[in-house]
Amino acid sequence: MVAGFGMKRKRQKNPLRRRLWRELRSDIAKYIAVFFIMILTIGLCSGYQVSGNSMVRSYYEGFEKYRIEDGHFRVRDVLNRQQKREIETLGVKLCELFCVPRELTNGTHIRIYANRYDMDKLCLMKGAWPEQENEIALDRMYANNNGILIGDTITTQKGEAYTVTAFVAFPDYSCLFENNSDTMFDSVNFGVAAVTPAAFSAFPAEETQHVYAWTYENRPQTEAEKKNAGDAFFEDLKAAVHVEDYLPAYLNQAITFTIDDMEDDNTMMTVLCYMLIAIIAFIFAVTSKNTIVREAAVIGTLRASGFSRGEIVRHYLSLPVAVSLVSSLVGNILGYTVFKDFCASMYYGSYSLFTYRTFWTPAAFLQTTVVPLLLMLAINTGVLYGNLRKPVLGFLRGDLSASRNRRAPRLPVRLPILSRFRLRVVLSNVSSVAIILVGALFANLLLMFGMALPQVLDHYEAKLPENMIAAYQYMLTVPLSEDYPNRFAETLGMLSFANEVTTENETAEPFSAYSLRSNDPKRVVEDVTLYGIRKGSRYVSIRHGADGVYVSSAFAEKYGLAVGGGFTLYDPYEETDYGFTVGGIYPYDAAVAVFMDQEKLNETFGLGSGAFVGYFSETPITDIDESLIGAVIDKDALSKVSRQLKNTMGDLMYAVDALAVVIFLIVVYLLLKLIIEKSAHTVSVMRILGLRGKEIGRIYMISLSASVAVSFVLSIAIDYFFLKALYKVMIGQMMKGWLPLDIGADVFVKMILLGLGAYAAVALLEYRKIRRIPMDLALKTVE
Amino acid sequence: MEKQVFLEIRGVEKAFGQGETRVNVLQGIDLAVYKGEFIVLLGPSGSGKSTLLNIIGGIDAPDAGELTVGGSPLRQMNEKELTEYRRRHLGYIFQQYNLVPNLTVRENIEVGAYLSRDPLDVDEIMEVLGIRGQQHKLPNQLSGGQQQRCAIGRAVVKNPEILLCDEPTGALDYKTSKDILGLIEKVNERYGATVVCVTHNDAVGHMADRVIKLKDGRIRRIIENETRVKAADLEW
Ligand SMILES: Nc1ncnc2c1ncn2[C@@H]1O[C@H](COP(=O)(O)OP(=O)(O)O)[C@@H](O)[C@H]1O
Ligand SMILES: [Mg+2]
Repeated sequence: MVAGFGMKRKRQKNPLRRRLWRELRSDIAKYIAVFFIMILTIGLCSGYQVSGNSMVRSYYEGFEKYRIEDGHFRVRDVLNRQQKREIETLGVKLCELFCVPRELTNGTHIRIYANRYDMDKLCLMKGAWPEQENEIALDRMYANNNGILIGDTITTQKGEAYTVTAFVAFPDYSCLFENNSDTMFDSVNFGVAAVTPAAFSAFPAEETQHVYAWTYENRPQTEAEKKNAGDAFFEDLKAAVHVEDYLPAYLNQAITFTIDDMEDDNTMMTVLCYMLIAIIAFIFAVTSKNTIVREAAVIGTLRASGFSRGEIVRHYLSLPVAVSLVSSLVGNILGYTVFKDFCASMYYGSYSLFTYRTFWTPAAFLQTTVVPLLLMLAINTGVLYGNLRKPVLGFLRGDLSASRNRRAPRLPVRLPILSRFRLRVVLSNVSSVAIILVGALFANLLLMFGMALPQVLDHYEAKLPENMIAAYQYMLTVPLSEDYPNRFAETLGMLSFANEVTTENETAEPFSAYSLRSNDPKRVVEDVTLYGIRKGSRYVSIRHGADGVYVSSAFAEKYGLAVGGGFTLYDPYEETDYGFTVGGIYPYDAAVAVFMDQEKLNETFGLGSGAFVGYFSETPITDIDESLIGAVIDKDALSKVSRQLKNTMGDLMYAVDALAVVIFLIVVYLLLKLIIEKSAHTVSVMRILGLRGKEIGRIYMISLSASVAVSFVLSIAIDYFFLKALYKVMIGQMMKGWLPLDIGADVFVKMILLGLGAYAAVALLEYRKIRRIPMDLALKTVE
Repeated sequence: MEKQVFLEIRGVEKAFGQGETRVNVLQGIDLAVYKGEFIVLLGPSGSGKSTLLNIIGGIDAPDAGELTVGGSPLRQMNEKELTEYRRRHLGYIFQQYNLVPNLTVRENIEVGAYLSRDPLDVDEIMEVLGIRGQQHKLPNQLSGGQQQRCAIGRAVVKNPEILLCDEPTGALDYKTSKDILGLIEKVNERYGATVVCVTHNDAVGHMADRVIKLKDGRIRRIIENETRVKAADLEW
C-alpha cells in the first residue's frame, strides 16, 4: 500500500476550543461564583440525599436487624404462660418490654427498661453495656440535651442512683415521644434508659408497667396491610385479655415520626435543589446570550465562513456544561464526605437514631449530576438556538438586539433626560431583573422560613398564658379493672368517678371529654379532644343551645374550617364516623379541639348524664389522689412543641438563613455583573462625552438598585402568601396540633436589611467597576 | 479679521508598547488651530491620526509636549478637569457612531444637550439633520447614515467650541458620506464650531480651510485651501 494513501487526515481540532480557556480566565470571578453556588447546592443536595437515603435504608434494615416491634400493648398484670400461648396462636410473637417510669432529680422523666436481647434490641452508640446493677445505658439524644456524660451519675426522685456507662439508641424510640397523643416529642424532658435484667427485677412490681411488644409472623408491608393486621389483632387480643393500652407500630409516633420526617425532607430538598439549579441554569442562559451579543461579529464571521449553527451552539455550550460537570462531580464528592456527615448530624441532633451505613444511592447520584446537567443543557441550548436563528448578516453587522420593528416604549419628554436614561436601563435589562426577582423569591422564601419559624415558636410560648383555657387542666384516670362499667372510658383511659374525685378547690370546674381521630388523607392522623363544657362555664364561653359545635382556632386554621362548614371525625374503637357542623370558632391555638355542651357530649358518646373526666382550674388541685390524675395540661405541657422544635430547628434555621443570603448574594452579583458588562461600551462612550463618573454610576446604580429593591420587596410580599399556604400544608402533613403563623414586622425589617446589605456589598463592587471602565473601549473600531 | 489661535499643539509625542514592541506613533507634532477653522487630518491608516485626535480630546495623554485649548493647558488637568473640559467644550463624532443603544434618537441627542450650559434646541437640530421623523426610534432601527446624523446631533446640540470627528464617514456609502460631510460643514459655518476631522480620504481635504498631512507620526505637509469646496461638490 502506498504510504499515506487511504490514510485519513488527522482531524483538525476545532480552533474555537482555544478561546474557551481565555473566556474562562477572563471571566474567572463569574465562573468561581457559579462554581461555588453549584458545588454548595449539589453538595448539600447530594449530602442530604446520601445521608437521608442511607438513614432511611438503615432504618428499614433495622426492622430486621434490631427486630423492631410491630406494636405493643399494656396489661395490668403479667401475662401467665397460658395467656401468652393463647395470644401467640394469633400469629404473633410476644416479648416483654416492661418498664418503670421515673422522675430524675433534674426534673426530667425517663422510662427505664431492662436491656433487650430479643425484640427492639438496643444499638450501642458509645460506651459499654451496663453490667452492674447500678449501671445504666441512656438514650444518646436525651443525654446530650441534658448534658449528661458517660461516667456521670443520675439519681431518681426515689433515690436510686445509676452510673451512665453507655449512650444507646432505642429502635422503638427513634423519636422521643413520651405519650403517643403528644403533639410533639420532647427529647429534653423525656428519655429512655436500660439497665441489666437483674437490676430491673429489683423494681417494685406495682411500679412496673407490663408492656408486651409483638411482631407478626408474617410481617405486613403496606400501610393498608399494617392497618388491617393491627385492627384484626386488636379484636382478637381484646377477646383474650383485658388491654389497657394498644399501639400498633404504624401509629406509634416514636417509631414513625423520624422516618416520615426524613422522607418528607428528602422530597423537599430535591425540589429545593432543582429550583436552585434552575436559577443557575437561567443565569448561564442569560450569560450565554450576553456572550452572543458581545461576540456577534465573531459569530457572524464564523457562520459566514462555514461553521454550522450546531458547531457554534456546541462551542458556547461547552463552558456551562464543563462547569456543571465539574461542579457536580466535586459537589458529589463533597456530598459523600463532608456534607453527608453534616446532614446526618442534623438528624442525629433531633432524633435518637441508631448508627447507619452509607449506601451508594444511584438515584441520588442521578438527581445531583444527570438532572442538573440536563437542565443546564436544555436551557442553554434553547437560548442559544433561539438567538442564533437570527440571520448571519445581523451578526456580521453586530446588530442582534431584538427585532428591528420592536419599538421603544415612549417615555414622557417632560422627564429629565437622566431619569429617562435610568428607566431605559431598567427596561433593557428586564430579563436580568426578572431573574433577580426569581432568585429573590427563592432566597426570601428560605430566609422568611428561617426567620419566621423561631418567631412562631416564641410567639406561641409568649401567648400561651392568655391562650390557655385554664391555667391547669386535670385529666382524671382510674385504675382500669374488669368490672369497669363503661367501655368508652376504658379505651380512653379516662372516667369520672364522681365520688372519689371531688375537690374543694373553688376554681375547679368539671368538664367531660371524648377523643376522636381525624381521618383526612392529606394530613397526619391526630386525636382530637372534644370537650364537654357545662352551662355557665367560667372558662369556656360557648352558646349552649346553638346548632353545631365550636372548634378551636387551631382546628379552624389547620383544617380551613369556617362557621357553617362541616367536618367528620372517626372513632377508632367504635369504628364509626361522626359528622359535625361548625357552629363557632373558639380562640384556642394550643390544640386541635372541639367544644360543645357537656350534656350533649355525654349523650352523643353515651357517657351518662353528669359524667365528667377532668377539671379546669385556676390553681393547682391538691386534694385529689395523684394516682387518679392521668395528665395535667399546664403551660409546661403545652409548650412542649415549641421547646422541642426550638431545640431541633434552632441551629438549622441559622444555616437556612445563611444559605438564603449566600444565594441572593451570588444571584445578584452575577446579574449585576452581567448588566454592567453589557453596558460597558455605553459607559465608555459616556465618559468620552464628558459625563462625570458619579453621574454614570448613578444612572446605572440608581435604576438597578431601585429594580433590585422593588424585586426584593415584591418577592417578600409574594413569599409571604406563598409561605402561608405552604405552612398550612407542611404543618398539616408533618405534625399533630397547630402553631399559628404570625410573622412579626421585625422579620420583614430584618429580611429587607439583610437583602439590602447583601445588595449594597455587591453594588459597591460593581459601582467601582463601572468607574474603572476605560474610555478606549468605545474607540476601538470593530476590525 | 485677526485670526485667533484656539488650539495649540507643541512638540506632542506619543509611543505605545515597551521595549521591542515599542512604536513611536507621534514624533513631535506642532500645530495651531484657529477659532472657527475647519481642519482635515489626512494620512494613511496607522499614521497616528486617531491618536492625535484622542490627545486633543483629552482622552489620551501625550508622552511629551504641550496642548493648550482656549488658553488652558491640558497637561495640568487631572481626570476630573479633563472630564469637565470634554463636557463643556467638545463634541465627538466617531466612525462607529457609538450611540447609546437603549436610548431613542431624541434621547441620545438630549444626553448631549444635558451636558451643555447653553445647548441648542433639540427639535431644531433634528430638523436640520433630517431625523425628526425618526426621533422615537432606537439606533438599531436606523440606517448607518441616520445613526451618524444622530451622533452629529448629539455632538452639535451642545453647541461645542470644537468638534472632533474620527473618520465620520468611514462606514458609509458615497452618497450618505457626502450628506454627512455637508452637515459637519453646516455646523462649522452656522454655529462657528472649530472642526478637526480625521480621514484617509484625500477628497475630503478640499472642504477644509487647511489640510494637515500626517505620515509616520509626523506632519509632512500643511495645505492651505484658497477656497473651500462645498461638501456636495466633492467627488471621489
Ligand atoms: N492603545 C494602543 N496601544 C497600542 N498601540 C496603539 C494604541 N492605539 C494606537 N496604537 C498604534 O498606533 C498606531 C497609530 O494608530 P492610530 O492613531 O489609530 O492610526 P490611524 O487612526 O491613523 O489609523 C497604530 O500602529 C496602532 O497600532
Ligand atoms: Mg484611526
